[in-house]
Amino acid sequence: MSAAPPRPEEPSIPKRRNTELALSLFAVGIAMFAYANVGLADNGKLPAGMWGYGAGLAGVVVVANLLIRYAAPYADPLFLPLAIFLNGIGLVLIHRLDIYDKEYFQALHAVNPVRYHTPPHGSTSNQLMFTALSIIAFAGFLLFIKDHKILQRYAYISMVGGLFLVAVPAMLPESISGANGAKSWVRFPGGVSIQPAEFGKLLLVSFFAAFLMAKRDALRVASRKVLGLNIPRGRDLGPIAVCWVLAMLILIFETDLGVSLMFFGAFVVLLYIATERTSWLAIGVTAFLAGAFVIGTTVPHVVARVNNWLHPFDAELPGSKASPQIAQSIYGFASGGIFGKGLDQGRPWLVGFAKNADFILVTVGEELGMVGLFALMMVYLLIVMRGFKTALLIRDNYGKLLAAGLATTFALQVFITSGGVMRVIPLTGLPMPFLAAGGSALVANWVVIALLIRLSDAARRPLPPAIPLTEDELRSMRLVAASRMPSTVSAGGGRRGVPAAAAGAASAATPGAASGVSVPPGAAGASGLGQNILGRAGLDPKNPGQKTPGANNPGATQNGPVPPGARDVTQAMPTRPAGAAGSAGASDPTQAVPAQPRGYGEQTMLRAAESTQAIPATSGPKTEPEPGAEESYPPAFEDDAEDHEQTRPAPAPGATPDEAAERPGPPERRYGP
Amino acid sequence: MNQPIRRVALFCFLLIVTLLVSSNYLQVVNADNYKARAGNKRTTLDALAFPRGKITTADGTVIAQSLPSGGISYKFQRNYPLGPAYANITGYKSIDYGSRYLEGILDGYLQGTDSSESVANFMDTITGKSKKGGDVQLTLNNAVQQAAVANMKGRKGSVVALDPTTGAILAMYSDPTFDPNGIASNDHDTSVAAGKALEASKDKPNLNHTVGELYPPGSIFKVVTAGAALDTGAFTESDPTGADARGFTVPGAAYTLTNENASVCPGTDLKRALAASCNSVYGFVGAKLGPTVMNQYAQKFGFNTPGLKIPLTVTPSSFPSADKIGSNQLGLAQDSIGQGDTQVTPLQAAMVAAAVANGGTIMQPYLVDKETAPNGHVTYKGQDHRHVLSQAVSPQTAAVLDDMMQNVVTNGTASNGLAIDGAHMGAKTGTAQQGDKQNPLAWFISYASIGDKHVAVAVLVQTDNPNLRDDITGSGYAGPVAKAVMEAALGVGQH
Repeated sequence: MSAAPPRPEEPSIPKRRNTELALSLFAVGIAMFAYANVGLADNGKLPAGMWGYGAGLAGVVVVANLLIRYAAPYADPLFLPLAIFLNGIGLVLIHRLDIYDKEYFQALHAVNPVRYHTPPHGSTSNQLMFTALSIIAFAGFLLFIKDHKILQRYAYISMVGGLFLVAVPAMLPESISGANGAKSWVRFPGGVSIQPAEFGKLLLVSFFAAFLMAKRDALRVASRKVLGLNIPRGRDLGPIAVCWVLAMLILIFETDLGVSLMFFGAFVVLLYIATERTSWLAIGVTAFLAGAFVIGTTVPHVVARVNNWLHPFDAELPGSKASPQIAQSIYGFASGGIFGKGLDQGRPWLVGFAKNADFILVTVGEELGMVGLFALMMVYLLIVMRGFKTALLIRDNYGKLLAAGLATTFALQVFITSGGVMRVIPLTGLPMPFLAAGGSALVANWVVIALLIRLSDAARRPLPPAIPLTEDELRSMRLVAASRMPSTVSAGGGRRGVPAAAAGAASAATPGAASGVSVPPGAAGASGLGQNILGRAGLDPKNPGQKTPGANNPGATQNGPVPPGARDVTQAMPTRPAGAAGSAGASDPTQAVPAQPRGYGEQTMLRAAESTQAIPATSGPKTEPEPGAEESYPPAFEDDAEDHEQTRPAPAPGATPDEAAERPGPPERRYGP
Repeated sequence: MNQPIRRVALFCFLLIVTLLVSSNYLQVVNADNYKARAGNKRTTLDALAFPRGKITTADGTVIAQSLPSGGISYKFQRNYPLGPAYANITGYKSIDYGSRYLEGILDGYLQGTDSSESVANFMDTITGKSKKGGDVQLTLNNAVQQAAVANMKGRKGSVVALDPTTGAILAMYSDPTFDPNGIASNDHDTSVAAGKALEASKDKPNLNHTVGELYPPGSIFKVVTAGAALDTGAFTESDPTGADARGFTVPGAAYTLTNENASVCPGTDLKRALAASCNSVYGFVGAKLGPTVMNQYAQKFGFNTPGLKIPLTVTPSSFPSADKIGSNQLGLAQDSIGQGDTQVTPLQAAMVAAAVANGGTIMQPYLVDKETAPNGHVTYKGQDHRHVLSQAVSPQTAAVLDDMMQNVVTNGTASNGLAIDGAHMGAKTGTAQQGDKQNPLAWFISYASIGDKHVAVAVLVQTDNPNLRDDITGSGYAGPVAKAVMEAALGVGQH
């Protein structure tokens, strides 16, 4: 081959790591200010540990920032500062409640030193320790999970693990798992207790994303139309039914509307996003409301919670056994008013368990007022919205579903916890993300942030520059492609992608091959899941010719068949992405051709090579599959017409206008001449 | 998939907005309702987080104050240094039982939340001064109050002393009373025990009997009847009224309204009949004046007038309406001598004496001398709000009544050593029957002045011992108390 033209400069996208650092330090500053405020209000002095506390948080910020510079340089610059802010404010609030515990103990101790001899174990130091642990988890995640698509491979493990974590408190005796009327804890001897559902939510969302990506086409099939809704086929109701049953079981056995609502809500929302079928939303919401209503009126301990929600002040009636927590919580909010009483000047301890779970929000409402609460909600909202923005920008479907799922769960958790204490919905036992005292929740939320950072890095990472193909390359490509006609690509088989790549390079010279070309990426897109399905389906990955869209194989459905001959992209644009990430940018990265040495970033390519089980087929001159074409569907589906983005996803930022037309490079590029 | 993602993002946005709306509702829109709920401990705790204002008497004696409690939840403890003496004026501020009387009525001011203190509070917030409530000074005089307390020791009854020229209340005491420090204790058990004891007591020790309880006035009401008789011009001070000196009889009635101990009245004129407290004459006079006139004059003296606040709410004293009396001459005669359906509060009795002492003019009685905001500004002065409550009788009539009541002290039922040396003094005794099983009530209303010091007093003494029943007289039981109180108010005698 002739020497390639000089490689163009990498497109420059601002990485914004310095912005992130500045914002994070600002967040630390706010937290320190609040910390000082607590000390001044308490005894008129700056708290002794203030500078150490500030230095600790600043250290966390610097470490995290450096880590992100190294591991996820294009990540959204807002996630870290927002999380640090919440974490810092949470520490301040817990410290503030610790002060009361200490004073209360001292008062008791003065009265009866024998009975009250052990001072309370403050939660602040615990929480600081868990913050450090969280940062380690955060760092570990960013360092070891170089590509979120790795998680896709462990879909079923995620499912099993997630279900186990969610279900385990229900199976344990009340003495181990119960707290505040809900069984959502696991207490270990020695005072350590965790809320396994916090990790469960991560795993299950990951599973949902992978599962729905694989199943989405089947779930899109509609049997008939009722009231403008496309009603799915009866047999496709299986997954949602299973999920519904699980949600109801959680509701019954853990008394926890929060966990139940969060998981089922995340599933239904992801189902909707994956299938774009409003009918799934309608079915899901109806099923949940119906189930929750039946359980909420029959199962005694759920009934108690619902009653407490409907009549919070009944607890004040003489002889009432109802929990006064909601009434106290309402009083807390009411006494806060618009501007609050100021840190350390309210009485948040009147609500039992003020530090834990959701009731820490009452401290915010009472001491920082409506204004402080609004600010806090805006911070939560920003995290959620940046999550959704990541979902919009990211180029692979799994990433989209994962990001959207994480954002949705986060928003649902904020809503469920806050709504519970504000009496919008019945009270649940979910912890307020980042604020509540509780190590497991904190670690889990930092992992969520790490995952969002990883996803946003993938979303914002620029596409590698296009490198013009030489005439030689073009010619050889066409030749190879033509020679392979009409066979299609074998892609799913190659875990390392090598055979597929070879095959792919030779494939797809004719329009007829178009659909076949894109099948393997589909299989690959489903990752481990897809493979399993393929394997079970008895499909021979080595014989991709069997796989056509018409086969309706779930694993093979998200390919990108372009109407044959629709565009001859290669000829229109004699350029190609220099690397694997290039094609990843436009379509599912799992379809990407990895390891283009001339492409952008070797590391990325290696990662892509590892994570991608299938090597995308290259296309012949006539049958270039459209990038992003993974969104297309067999024309047999009746709603093709309403599918706006079926074949035209929005180009990623940083993509060149050519991006839409790019295609994987020829295999010889990847492996070198 | 981007379109659904956008929709879901919008949905999540709306979820958070729901929370904001809810926050607004809880913290602003409906916050006051929540704060006002009885079960809201925060309101109480807030109240005890800083010193509440003091209540003092006019001479500076502290009768209610907040002291640091040393507790963790409740920073301050309400304390009543003189305990029972002022219990039914200050009332109490209790965590478990709420607040009562002045503590309740002036709660906002004492707590520092009253709008008149907002400027002071704002300045204190800016200058970093710690928050506290406004102080209230009362018109009460501790010496007079203590004289009432000391002389009522071991007796049940009420004492009211006021300055007839201004309406300022100098003493107000009713026995039985209680120690408000018990019920106001921050300690729940102490407070509840005290509260239960109060509820269990039949004597209603936590009721301010001087304004909250009605009694038959007995003969002291004859002052009102005499006022009506003179003011209408139907009778004169010294001319015979034409009544039967032995008793008032209505043809066909079942009984005759006789005098005390069935005696014969020494004269049928108003003056001598008042000195001897003759039922026969005053029953006749009241019946002659008729129900409309009697009711009208009772109202002029303050009867049947609801809504009087000093600022404690005063139960209106009552005289039956003309419709109710109808043509029942004997009933009207009974009403006119302070029996039958006529009922008074001790405060009303004092107001009758005050009307005579003040030329027929009744000044609005009041307790609050001044209110001082935490920054020292006086935001309310009682003297700026003095006003005439009613003109009971003309000054000329009042002068005649004054003469008649002085005669009671010099020649009449109150002539048993009750006169105060050097003082201009008038009085009327009363022995009000309450039914067969109960001892009669001993009443004594009087007024006295030396120089520019004026005082009008009503004293009511109740007894339970049946053996005393025949001995009870207004002058014997209530008179000495009134004398002591008047002496304290005038600054003479042993004080």
